[in-house]
This record gives sequence, structure tokens and C-alpha cells, in this order.
Amino acid sequence: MNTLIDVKDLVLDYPKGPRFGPMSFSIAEKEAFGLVGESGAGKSTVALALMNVLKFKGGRKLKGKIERHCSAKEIAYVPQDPAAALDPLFTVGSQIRELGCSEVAILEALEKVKLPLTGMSLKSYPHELSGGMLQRLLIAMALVRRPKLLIADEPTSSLDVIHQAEIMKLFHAVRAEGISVLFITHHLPLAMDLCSRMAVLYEGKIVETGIPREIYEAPRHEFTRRLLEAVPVLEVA
Amino acid sequence: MSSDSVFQLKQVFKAYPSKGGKKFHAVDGVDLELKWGVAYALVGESGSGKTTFGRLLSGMIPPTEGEIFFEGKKMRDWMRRDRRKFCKKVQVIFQNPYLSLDPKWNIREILEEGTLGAWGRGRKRKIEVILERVCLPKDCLPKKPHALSGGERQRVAIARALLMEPEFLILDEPTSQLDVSTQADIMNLLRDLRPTLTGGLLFITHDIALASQLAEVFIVMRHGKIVEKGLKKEILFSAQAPYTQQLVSASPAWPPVF
Repeated sequence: MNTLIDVKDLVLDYPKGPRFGPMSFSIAEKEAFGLVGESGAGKSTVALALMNVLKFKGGRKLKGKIERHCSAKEIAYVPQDPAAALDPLFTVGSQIRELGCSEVAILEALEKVKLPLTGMSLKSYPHELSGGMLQRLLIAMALVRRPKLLIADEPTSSLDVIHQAEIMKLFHAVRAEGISVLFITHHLPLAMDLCSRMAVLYEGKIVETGIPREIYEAPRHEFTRRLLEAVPVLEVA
Repeated sequence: MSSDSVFQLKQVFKAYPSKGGKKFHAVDGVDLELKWGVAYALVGESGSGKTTFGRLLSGMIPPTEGEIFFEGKKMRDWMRRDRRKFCKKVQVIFQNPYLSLDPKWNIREILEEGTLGAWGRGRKRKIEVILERVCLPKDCLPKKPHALSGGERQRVAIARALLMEPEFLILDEPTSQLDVSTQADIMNLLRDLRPTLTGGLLFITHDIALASQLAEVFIVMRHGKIVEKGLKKEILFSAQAPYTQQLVSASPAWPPVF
């Protein structure tokens, strides 16, 4: 399988802040890769570095190498909080059209995410849609440019379980279509459900990489064990 | 009226104004009785009216129609002293610890507000005991909420509620803003507290697994209506309503199936 993104010894240095890395991992074509860690572990920073939008000034440094075997335009991004990612003053329709795609492609993408938005409803404003619908919309907006890699940064953490299940179904479909997914989350069950390989991030370092089954059955790092224990289990008795 | 009920709801409606002068019923005709000493879970998707229900019970908002009785007394007819009595018995812990603590007060001031009738050394001692119980270090007292992490803030909110020595706790999604390991810590804390809550609790959540760790009786809510109410086992294994089944199966499988 061809490698899409290859990260080698990536180090992010902040003059007065945390230091991330060194970390190395690669994402292959058509695979779902999970990046799991607590808040503050540096998950989102890695995503930003991959998209090449981190600014380096005031002593911030990036060392190591990120090899992209696709253009930056072929990387799409689904953020954590869909409501904050859209402009509240513009209709959702105008924000989709801003992406510069044909109407056909837009409708196709909307259909893919099972969002019944046509004509009138494209004229609605972001606040008129529910959180689940907004997240679908953002996934559609990410898919409309036919990306090779979809970076999803905690896409379900602001949703309830039912909508979470629906969104996860979408990600499975995206993966089945042959689009790579970088799935960033703090929720192990989701990553293990979707991903073929995953890395565990702790205090800016990758402490474990492997396939979900190995990590579940034989976690090597103390932090992974703690994460596994923290997953809420159904208590029947 | 049976005396063993904490709350009794009779045809309770709560409507909010909506587009075009219409009304949106967040709580839509609920008949319910919550008994003393039982841990209840209120589960449902977002927008189902869970939080509004919690607010109605805590007396923060009145119902537009119907009556809520607390220990047999209509909440609508409350005098000021009834309200005070209620606050001593029932405390609420909110979803967002970033909003529920006053940013201009330090932790000591926030906690002192909950120590009604205690002064001087007694009050200091009381706060120290409660801090230990929620596993917070003493040196957080002079800090302001912004200097604490989300989990620590939620512990402060829990400590503030516990200082009143409540009998009944209303927990409105107390862990949904926290990450998983902090969530596990808070859940452990709540489970340790459960025996001290003689009156029971109402745990509002959308996560069935979390609810199962704390509650004995499940109330399933959708579109402001009670869909189903039953013991934990009944809801988890033999739910009648299709919506309940959907809710139970929506949580990702754990342990995972490979």
C-alpha cells in the first residue's frame, strides 16, 4: 500500500510552552489511522502541522520531516465544534458554494452524508441546524473536493450517542470509498471501531503504535492502560 | 399523596416561544414520581428536554402548565423559607464547570457560599474536610476558577454542592465536558458519594454506560415525553420502546469486537 503521509521525527518546539515529539508515524492510502490521547496531549497540533497551517515565528520551531504524497488541497478537515467552524451570518448554502464546486458535486456530497438539504433548506443559517446536522454538513464540505485524506479532529465529542453512532457510520462509509482518515479522539472505543492502525499520544510523544486488537489485548504503556480502564463499562448488576 | 416521594410531577409542560409565535414544548406532559432513596438516570438524546426537566425539578424555572410537588408541597406555592429548606436538601451540579463557577471569585469564596451558618474555624474545617473528600489539594483555595483544569473545576462544583449536606443531588451531564480519564475519576467520586445521599439522585446523561454505573432506575426521554421508565436490567436487556433499544445499541461496543 502506498504511503500518503509520512511523519519522521517531528518535533514542535514552543519557546515557553510544551514540546511535542519526537514522533514518527505514517498514514497509508485507504486506511483509517487513529490518534488517541488526552486533552493537551498535542493531538490537534499534529493535525495542524500535517495541514501545514502552523505558523512558525517568535521562536516556535518545527524539526523533522513531514512527507506528503498528496497535495495540500487533497487534505480535508472536519473540526471538533461544527458550530464554531461556520460563519453564523451566512447561510449554509452560500458557505458550501464558497468552496467553488459545481452544484452537482455539492448535492452529491450532501446525499452521501444523508443530509436532506435542498433548495429552501440551503438558505438556512447555521443556528437553525442541530449539532448532528452541522457535523454532517461539515463532512459533506470536506468531501466535496474529493480529498485523499480526511482529518477528523474529535468529530463526535460535541454530539450525543445516537448522533455519534450516525457520524461514525459516515466515517466507515468514507473509508470504504477509499479515502484515508486520520481520526483524532480521546474516546478509545471509537478509534478501535474505525481504525486499522492507531497511535497513542501522551504528553506530546507517541507512546504506542499498533493495530487496535494488539493495543486492547496487550497495552505496553502505562497511559494506554489508564485510557483503557477509563472507558465507561456497562454495569448490569 | 404518598410521603415516600421526593418529587411528584402531574401533567407538567414547559413551553418556550418559537418561530412564528408558536410554542416549543421542551417538556411535554410528564407524569412522574421520584421516590426517596433511589438513584435515577434520565437518558435521552440532545434536545430531548433532559436539561429543562432538571431545571424544573431544581426550581430554577416554573412549569408553564401542571404542578410539581416536592415532598408533597406544590413548588408553585413556595414561600421563601420553603426555597431555603429545598436548597438544603436538593443540590444541583451543572454540565459546564466553566460556566457554573463565578470567574471573579476564588475557590475559597465559592465554597464559603455553601457553608450556611458556619463561621470561623468551624467553617475552615468544614471546607478542608470537603476538599479532601473530592480529592482537591488545599492550595487551590486562593486560586480563581480559570487556574484550574476542567476536572478540578467540576470537583469544586461538587464540593460546593456537598457543603450543603444535601440529601438529593441533581447531576446534569456532569462529565460531558471532560475527557475520558477525568470522567472516570469524577464517576468514581460520585460512586463513593452515593451512600451519603440518603435521598437519592437524578443523573442526567446521554451515555447509557455512565448511567448504568450510578443509577438503579432509568427514565428514557424523547421530545419532552417519557418514553419508558424501568429498572436498569429491564431497560438494558428488555426495553420495550424502539427508541430505548436504539439508544442502548448506539454506544460503541466495549470491549471491542475484532
